[in-house]
Amino acid sequence: MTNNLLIKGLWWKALAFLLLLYAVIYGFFVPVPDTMIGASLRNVFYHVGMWFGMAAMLTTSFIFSIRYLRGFHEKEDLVAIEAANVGVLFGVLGLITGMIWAKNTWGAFWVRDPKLDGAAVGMFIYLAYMVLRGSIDDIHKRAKVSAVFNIFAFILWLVFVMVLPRMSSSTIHPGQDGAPVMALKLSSSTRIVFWPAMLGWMLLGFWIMNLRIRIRKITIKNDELRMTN
Amino acid sequence: MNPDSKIYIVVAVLAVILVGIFVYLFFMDRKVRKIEKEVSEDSLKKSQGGQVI
Repeated sequence: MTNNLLIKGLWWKALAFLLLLYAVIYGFFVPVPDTMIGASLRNVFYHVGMWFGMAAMLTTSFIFSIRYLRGFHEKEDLVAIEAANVGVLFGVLGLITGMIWAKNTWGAFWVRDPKLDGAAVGMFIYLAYMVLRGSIDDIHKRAKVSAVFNIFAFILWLVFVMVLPRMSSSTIHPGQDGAPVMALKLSSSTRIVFWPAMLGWMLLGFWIMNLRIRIRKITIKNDELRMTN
Repeated sequence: MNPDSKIYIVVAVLAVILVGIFVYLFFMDRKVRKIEKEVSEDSLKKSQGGQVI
């Protein structure tokens, strides 16, 4: 049994751990280019990771909402909601870490900027998704209505976070010229921390999502058992 | 990086926090797996006409 516990599905969780441990330690020692923002450049390993995590979670949520609408299997709705939940967690952390960095780089916690405002609007879209879910009691209706909303929400999120800031010429936030982040312009030494870190954050998100889904499934099963008792 | 900056202390603190979070997640994962097993055994008993709890 112990063997089973250790092997089943453990490798990618262990990988998440190793990648993030590597990023947290080596991220402080890897040489980074000398720019105006100094050592705070190292924040890209952590702050940007929140947005990679959020994007991975929201993409998962989007895919499972589409899958739900094709077959109406309750399990797929579960993945959609829990992925969105973890996505919002990453989003909140991304906003807070971004504000700390902004205060020390641009002098204010929040500046009028298409990227920042877009990220905030994106958060509100997903908060609306949560409110919508909470307001429908019938589980089948809730699953269907929120799946449709979620597809719409993801596309809007992409527009606000990815498309509009790129179309605007006035953004102060880096990473708006083609590449999703400034990553592709990072020096090669920085990249060897950046990409493992991004993968690590995304895997951590999947782990938390996985736990939440399983707990929810147990709750459902437990309710069913009680009802038939 | 300036070797006198003692940044390695911060790194050690962060590493401990990270290890702590992952150990916590690992044990939570194990606990969920245990409950999953119990619930599936219960529903198996149920399907065989047995009494649960």
